[in-house]
Amino acid sequence: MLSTSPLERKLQLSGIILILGLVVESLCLLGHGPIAFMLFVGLGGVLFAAGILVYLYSLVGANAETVKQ
Amino acid sequence: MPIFLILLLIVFSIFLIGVFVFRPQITSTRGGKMTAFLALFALPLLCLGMGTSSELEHAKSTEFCLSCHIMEPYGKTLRVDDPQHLAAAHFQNHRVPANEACYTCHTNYAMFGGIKAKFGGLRHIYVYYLGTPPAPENIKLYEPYNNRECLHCHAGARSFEEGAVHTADPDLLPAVKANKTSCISSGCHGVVHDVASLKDAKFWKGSN
Repeated sequence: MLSTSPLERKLQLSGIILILGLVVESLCLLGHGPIAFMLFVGLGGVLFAAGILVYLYSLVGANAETVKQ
Repeated sequence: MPIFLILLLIVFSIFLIGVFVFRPQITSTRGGKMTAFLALFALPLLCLGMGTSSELEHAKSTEFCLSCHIMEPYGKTLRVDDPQHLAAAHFQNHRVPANEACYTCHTNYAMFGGIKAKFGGLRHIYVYYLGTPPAPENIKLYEPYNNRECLHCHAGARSFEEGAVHTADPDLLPAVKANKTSCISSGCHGVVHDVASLKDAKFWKGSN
């Protein structure tokens, strides 16, 4: 399922991580206790940060490849 | 912001991100790149911001604070049918918003009070789940209750400034305002959350 192109693969990876983060966020929003809050901040926040960083890294990587060529 | 709208935005974001997961080649066009930026950067940040705001708002609610088993007796003290009980009188007479009763009195009204309250809450969760929580009647404040939190609402109010007891001694109000005489521990408004005597208490049945 993952693309053979490194840039597209990174975008797919970023997308999958972000979808996981969004699912965690939506489940936590439906929850009401402190555990939901902690999961939102801890797990959701980490997944969001990782997904966005992978996306930004893919942009930097793509730019570096263009410069090499 | 209603949770329903945030969930709708999340579903839309998941759909848009899903398009890039299954068809990453569409990023080869300019329009695809711009949409990818929207789907993989802007929308998730928006969802995170709105979700965080909603969660932080919910964390102020009385329901949230009382969702820990250890806090149940403190929730019951809000319904004690006795006007001498400070927390109960404030809660039942809407001197504090009933849905944010705990937060209103237990946040710090200094500049970073809200942030300090959140870190305090994280510490509570740590102690509750990973530490050894004390019995409800042994729970103590981290630091003595500051009059500033009372004066945030009461300062300037006629009932406070001109109350017979408050004005009987001309030195009292300046001392209270300077936090030298505590509203609570000086013996004037000492019954706040009397969890130890809940067994004998009468409770107000009204809804809030």
